[in-house]
Amino acid sequence: MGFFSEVLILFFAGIFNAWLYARKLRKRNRDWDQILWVLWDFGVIGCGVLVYLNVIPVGLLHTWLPWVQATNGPNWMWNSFQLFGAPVLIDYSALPATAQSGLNTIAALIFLCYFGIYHLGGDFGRMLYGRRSHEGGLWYGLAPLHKPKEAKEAEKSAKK
Amino acid sequence: MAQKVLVTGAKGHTGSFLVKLLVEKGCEVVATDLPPRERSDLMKKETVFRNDLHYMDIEVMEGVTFMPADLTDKESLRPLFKDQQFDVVYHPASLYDYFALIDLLRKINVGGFKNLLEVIHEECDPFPRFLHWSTCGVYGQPKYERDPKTKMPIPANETAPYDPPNAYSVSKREQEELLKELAAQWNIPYTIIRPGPIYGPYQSYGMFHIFYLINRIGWMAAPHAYPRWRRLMMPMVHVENLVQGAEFLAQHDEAIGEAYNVCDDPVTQEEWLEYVYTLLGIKYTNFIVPWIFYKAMAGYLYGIVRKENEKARKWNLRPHIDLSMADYISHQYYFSNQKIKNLGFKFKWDPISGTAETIKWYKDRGWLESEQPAIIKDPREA
Repeated sequence: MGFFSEVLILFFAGIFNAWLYARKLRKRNRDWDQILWVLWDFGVIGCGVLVYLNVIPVGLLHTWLPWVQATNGPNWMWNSFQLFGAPVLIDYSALPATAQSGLNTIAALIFLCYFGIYHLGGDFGRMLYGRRSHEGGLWYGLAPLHKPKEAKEAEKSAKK
Repeated sequence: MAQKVLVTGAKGHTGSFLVKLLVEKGCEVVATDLPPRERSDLMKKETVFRNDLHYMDIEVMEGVTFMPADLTDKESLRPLFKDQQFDVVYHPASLYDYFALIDLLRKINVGGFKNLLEVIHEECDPFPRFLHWSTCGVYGQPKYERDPKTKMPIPANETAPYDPPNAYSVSKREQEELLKELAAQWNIPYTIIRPGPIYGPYQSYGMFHIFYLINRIGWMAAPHAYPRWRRLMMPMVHVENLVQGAEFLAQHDEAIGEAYNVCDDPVTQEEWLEYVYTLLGIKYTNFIVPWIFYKAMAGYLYGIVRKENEKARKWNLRPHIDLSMADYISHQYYFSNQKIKNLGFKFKWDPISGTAETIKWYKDRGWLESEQPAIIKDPREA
């Protein structure tokens, strides 16, 4: 979790769910679109808020990922790009109370933006994989041709 | 007295519509095409997306005599002309397949055509009125004159020089040259019809691929190229306009020895595509793009299609889009239909109403999938 990684997760979750819904779930029950949306958006926001409020401890992260300097929830949430080796840029604990309350307001706004990020990923996914059950999306038009079995076998026997 | 006519390629898309029209006009129709098995072996193009699509069944039409024959087998053509004299021979038969190799196209379209003309010459006296199907593709992308005020291109007419861009159009050019050469020797009362890409109900290749792909992809872009005068046109003809045009030309002696473009009235690609997207209920994104970027984008897409075509040929598969179809996104194909209009022909369909009718037909029968089940079932598919 963390603002940076959650945004990425939600965007790709949107794409993945669009694929899952178009290819697998839509035929069974169209409500899956809403169910996935609620699960992902509120799940990720819930986790993020709980981490930010230090309800979910982040101390263990340092044990699993030694390069991550996660001392408390807000510190980790603002510096989640540490996952990719970037240094700590915003030391929340060291900031004065007024700056912390400002950051908290921004954090609330970022959490609200998550809905949009998921939606953006979903739109992109629908463009790629189609919205309706008979649609294949851009992937249908642009997917490369697959080498048929016979051609593969012929190549193998030629090599031998 | 009812005219007696021969229609070649009668089981194809244009052929079947032509037979239907001629029967409605009260003609006595002899229809010919390959025997069913040979035809389905050759026409793989009709099964790129689905293999359950059929053209109209002409054999069940009243007043039609079906006699199978093979253009490449000269002797199989002779029985068509034994003991019967035709007033008009309509010759739409051809291998219309952009993926076919030039040798096969030459064998059928040029060699077969030569066989047909020779047999008619040997068996019929006088040579019947002959309507030959060519294509606007024989022009390639001509050099267009431009309107000095708007800079918009002026559509090419029948005097544009030959410059065929693909193997199919090369074979059509050779057919035309052969016809003109033999017509001079044998006094053939011919007329050449040059249709644009044909669309309409029952079509399962060419324009159908565009409809099918758009419907299947479900999201499309609608680029608006600038400057405006660079925008590409959508040359096409509704199958009913085409067959009515052919029947019209057959009745006009002024048309003998002439060639006629048969294309619907002009429409720009973007205008037409947006209409298609709307009819299909497809989400699309409009955006403005300078011509130079549009050209680069189209070139990139063309490159992808070319690669897929190369792979398909190597692996003996069929690509979704034949390379020559992709030409339309980067080349200006714009042809005038004024010559046939000057003779007095009136087009039944314009590109917008024709497209609407065609898409409705496809959707009603489930040829283009939608969330609603097909309304009309083809009894042969049951």
